[in-house]
Amino acid sequence: MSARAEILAQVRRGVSLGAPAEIGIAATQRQPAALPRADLVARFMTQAAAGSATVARVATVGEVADAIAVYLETAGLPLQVFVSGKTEGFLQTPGHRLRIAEGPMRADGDTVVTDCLAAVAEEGVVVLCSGALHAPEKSFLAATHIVLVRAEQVVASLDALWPLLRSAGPLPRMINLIRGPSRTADLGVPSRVGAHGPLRVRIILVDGSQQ
Amino acid sequence: MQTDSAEFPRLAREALQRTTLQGALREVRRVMPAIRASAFRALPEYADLREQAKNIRNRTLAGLDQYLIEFERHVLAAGGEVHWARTAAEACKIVGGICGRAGARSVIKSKSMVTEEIELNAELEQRGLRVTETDLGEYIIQLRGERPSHILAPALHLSLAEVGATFEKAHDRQRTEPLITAEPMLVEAREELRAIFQAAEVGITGANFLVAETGGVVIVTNEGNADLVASLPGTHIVVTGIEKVVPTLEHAGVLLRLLARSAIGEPLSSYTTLVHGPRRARDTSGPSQFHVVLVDNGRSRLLGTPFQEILRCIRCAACLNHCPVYTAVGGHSYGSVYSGPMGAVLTPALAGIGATMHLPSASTLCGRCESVCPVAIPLPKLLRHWREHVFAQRTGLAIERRGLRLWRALAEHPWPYRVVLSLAAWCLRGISVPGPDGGRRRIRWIPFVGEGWTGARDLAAPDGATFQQRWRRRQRAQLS
Repeated sequence: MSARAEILAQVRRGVSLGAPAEIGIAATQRQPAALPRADLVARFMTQAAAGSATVARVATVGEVADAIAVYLETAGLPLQVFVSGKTEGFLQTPGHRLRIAEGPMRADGDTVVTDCLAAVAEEGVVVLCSGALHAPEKSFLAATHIVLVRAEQVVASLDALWPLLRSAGPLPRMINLIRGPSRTADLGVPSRVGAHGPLRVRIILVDGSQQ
Repeated sequence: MQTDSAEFPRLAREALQRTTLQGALREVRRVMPAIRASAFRALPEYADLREQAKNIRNRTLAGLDQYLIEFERHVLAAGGEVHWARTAAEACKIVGGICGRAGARSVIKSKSMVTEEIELNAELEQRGLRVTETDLGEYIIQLRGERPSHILAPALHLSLAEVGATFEKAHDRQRTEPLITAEPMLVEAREELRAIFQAAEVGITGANFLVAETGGVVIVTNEGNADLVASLPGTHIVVTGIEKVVPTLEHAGVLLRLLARSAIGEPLSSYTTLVHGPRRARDTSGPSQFHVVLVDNGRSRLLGTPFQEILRCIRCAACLNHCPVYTAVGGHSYGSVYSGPMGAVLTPALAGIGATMHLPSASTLCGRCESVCPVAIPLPKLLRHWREHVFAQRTGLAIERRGLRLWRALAEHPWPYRVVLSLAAWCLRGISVPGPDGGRRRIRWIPFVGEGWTGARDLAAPDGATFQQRWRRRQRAQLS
């Protein structure tokens, strides 16, 4: 008998007859879907900050490039960024001061700007998917990860995220739920930032969906 | 599964003398219960979620074969491969074979308790592969040739100074000053591992959950190392126990909402990742090969037995962090990769109770573990089951069996019981001394069997009369 057949046979022998009835997922969330969008966005910003990301808010896509430039300058970082995902909107802003990097990322130290599929308010995470436009390792190899979130992308909870993922067609190879920078507690508590992934996560929340 | 659990008494005694370890465990006691409690105070629906989580795990186990088949179907449809391993040796052979066919020379790994359980690294190294752990704690103990001492924080038992010394010895660098603080150590580890990340041909991860509905593998980290391990090399292998499967994304969501809060007091960890198969046609990068190795290694044998409940475990380590025994002697004393209360139940189940009988006895059955378990595993009950097992099989310590026989003889005969216990109470009171400020009397020293207790603390002295004597006096007083 193959290993598969043997394991399945042993499993079937072990399980008791009469499986319990369908165990549904009762809505135990505090019904955040009823919250006005403004409150959802506010909650997301609070939770993201609690996860050690920093959050900036702009009114339109046109202001994104400047917001990124100001952030990098304040942090003493170069204005050169890699882009990954659907981020061309902000690149079309005339006169922006960013330099868009081409080619492969360096081993370490680069800044990457990505978009996201959604942002979950309850836990303060941004959701990124691999695909033709985004290679997930870019957001891990970079030292600084800047994420563009549109206000309408904020969902209340994980419960709201799963249907969104299902409706987006065949599932991508990798879906990342990212809460702040990379951390480790292996060198003592409180945990330290910059274990293998980014040292900084900057979320830029865009209020309007129009440019 | 190989263990050193038979050495528990000696290892525990030695652990109590180790100052660095005791310092680390003091920190665990000081910090971990508080942050978990604070996270769940902020979650009013905790009791509901816990009930759901327990039901989800039970339901999955009750239909485990169907869910495994459904999971396999989706992985295959996504272009991945699924392998089934009955034993540790079989699992190692499968992984070794995949690495060989991939022409691998260098393998990177993220933390996976199952790979420790099956001793995968030793097997791969024997085949001439270079294996590097990328989880920082695992990396540190790999450099030292040690076993993990906590299921989430493998290097918990080490001081920062010991880590610094380890890096100084292992990393080939010019140094102007010794490594003392955490920041430069972190930078150094990051730099050393970057090069290894980029060069490896195979990446091996574990799995926190397997989603049957989508064929997805859920991997949870704070460092993001698993994401690099699963993205950079050309082959990604997931090694997992068969009990990790959950039916749908929603079910995974319930468990995820409990996992990070139980483990580290956060709503979610830094990275919660779902992986579905190898790279797609439109992807610009990613592994071209994706393998899931489903490991049984004794798990299916637990189904239908009272020990089935331990298969609900989601490896959050809350029971370890709250256990008075674990936080006194640390994980290495257990002689197994799984330590603490869950380890004391799971290790005998996987490795056989013969070599591990000390573990279920190393407990006061205080019940804190069960009260903090997010999936409500009745750990004290399972520990007692193991003790009953050992006693029934007559494989335990002779002195325990004789002691219990003596107690039983006394308890079954009221008159000798009364006499012996009255005498004992009178003797204990006789050797007691007054308590502080005229409080209850205490016993500072009991020779031989009592030294284990009185060596570290006083024993409250009995009042001098047994319950039965006082009861009789009270009855007489009431009648008159």
